[in-house]
Amino acid sequence: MGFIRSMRFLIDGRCDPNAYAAYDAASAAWYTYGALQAEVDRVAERLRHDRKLLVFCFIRNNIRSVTAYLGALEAGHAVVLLDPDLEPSLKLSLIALYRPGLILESGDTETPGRSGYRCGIPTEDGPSIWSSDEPAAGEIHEQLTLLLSTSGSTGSPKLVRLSRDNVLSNALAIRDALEIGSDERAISSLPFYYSYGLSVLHSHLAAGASVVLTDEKITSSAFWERVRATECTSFAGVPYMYMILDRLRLDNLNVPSLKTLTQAGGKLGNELIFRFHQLMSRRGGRFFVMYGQTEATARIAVLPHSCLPEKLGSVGKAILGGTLRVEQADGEPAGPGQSGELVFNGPNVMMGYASGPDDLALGDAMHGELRTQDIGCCDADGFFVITGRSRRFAKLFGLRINLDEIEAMLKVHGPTAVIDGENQLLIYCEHGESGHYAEYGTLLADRLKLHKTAFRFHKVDRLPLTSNGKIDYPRLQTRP
Amino acid sequence: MNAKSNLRQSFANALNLRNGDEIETLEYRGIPQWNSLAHMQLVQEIETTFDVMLDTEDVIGLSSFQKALGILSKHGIDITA
Repeated sequence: MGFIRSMRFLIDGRCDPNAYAAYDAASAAWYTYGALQAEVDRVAERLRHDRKLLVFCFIRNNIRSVTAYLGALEAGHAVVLLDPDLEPSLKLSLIALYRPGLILESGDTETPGRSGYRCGIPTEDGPSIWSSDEPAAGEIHEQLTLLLSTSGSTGSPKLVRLSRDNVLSNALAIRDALEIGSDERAISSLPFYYSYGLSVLHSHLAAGASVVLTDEKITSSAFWERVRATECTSFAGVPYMYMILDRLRLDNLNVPSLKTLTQAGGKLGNELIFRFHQLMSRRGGRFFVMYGQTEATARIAVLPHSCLPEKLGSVGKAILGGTLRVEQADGEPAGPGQSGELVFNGPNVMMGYASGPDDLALGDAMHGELRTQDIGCCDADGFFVITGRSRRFAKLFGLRINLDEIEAMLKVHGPTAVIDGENQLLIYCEHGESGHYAEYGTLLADRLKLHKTAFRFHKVDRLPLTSNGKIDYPRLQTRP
Repeated sequence: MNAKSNLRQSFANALNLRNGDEIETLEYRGIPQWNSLAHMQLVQEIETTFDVMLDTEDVIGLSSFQKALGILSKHGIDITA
């Protein structure tokens, strides 16, 4: 079918051009696959360049942002998806570091004072397009398609490099694992600069299904009115959203069309998994527990609804096309029930990281293998359980937070150690007192867009150290 | 302390604000820190302060200070006091 040129790498070529692809809540308009493609082509036309460029796309859950993103892909560029609400100073330092050829914004939060960039004539419904007077001169690898941040809200310059094959293979594997048919319709409950949120868009486009685009939060009645009116069939959430949903009570929200719930982005308590599984069974629907990493584009493993409650606490098995194994510290494979590092192999494993513009020329450094740095084991039936994370990251309300970055922010005041507590960061300081801590908490809350109660400060005389003088995190973790 | 002032304090605590009059004109779209986490914090503050249990409709309808007053009044709390 001729009209599907661009997104052909994402969209099933057999899909009906008259089928709905997206609903834009902001403009209350439906877009068919044909109309979406036309919009994407229009944007792509404006973004075409005589060489491949790096494009920063500050993406919201609306049609302008989505067509800007897909248009930049269509034009053959490499796209970095970023949080439009990132602090302006963080935006500017990312721009200064990577010097992208183009910056796309969807309107309402323009970054001020951007020198070296000219803004094209804005069109009514297209993105604002800023082009650089002097983009970074380096090569961009021909396979490089998408770059995602490893920790969204701290504005870390470390990006995950993803190829076209990474994106496509993961979209198709998710489509198959969740059995997404063309009649499915997802509500965009997560942001698209977050790999899980983006995977919802990709897997639905790959299935010829539709997505309802809204920036409303799940705690607003407008969000649920949208789900009801557009008859959404699926919802994706991270653990804290399921805690909220549990409090709201799905059955009281009058959204009978909602049949599929998926959960990823950290460990949800077994009690809640059990409850949501029961709830969805009663509704004649499904509840999927999943596991993934941005380094694997998004998804690594999925636990089918039918495996609960038997496999409560498990993240299931590797997605189709991938394999997962447990490796002991000595490199030997672990037997059933033995714990070790989870290692994933699959076509969705990233090309590698980028920490600056020079890295954009790099090819595949991973060769399809990802050491997840997550600790887990596999049971006799081949189901995986994650028992811990060895990476210095915390999952806080679905956000991946680099603990070392938080530590670095506070170290200017004195020795500081930050560890992951459940839904909270535990911050141990050899300096300051409660007045200072309140101030730091407010600053961190502001920067990370979390509530100040997400940070718990403790004064210690001396941080525990290992024999080689490094902070002994396991010992801190066992403090009462 | 009267109900209105207590409610202002709940908003101030949940949303990291100073307890001032401007709180009474707050709407959830108006300030960036009013995200879903702060929203649930606000629900908890209100439930504890006024010893009420908000139902689903209350929780998702709590979109402004004025709406919160309406919800309290529905739960039999004298908001004129």
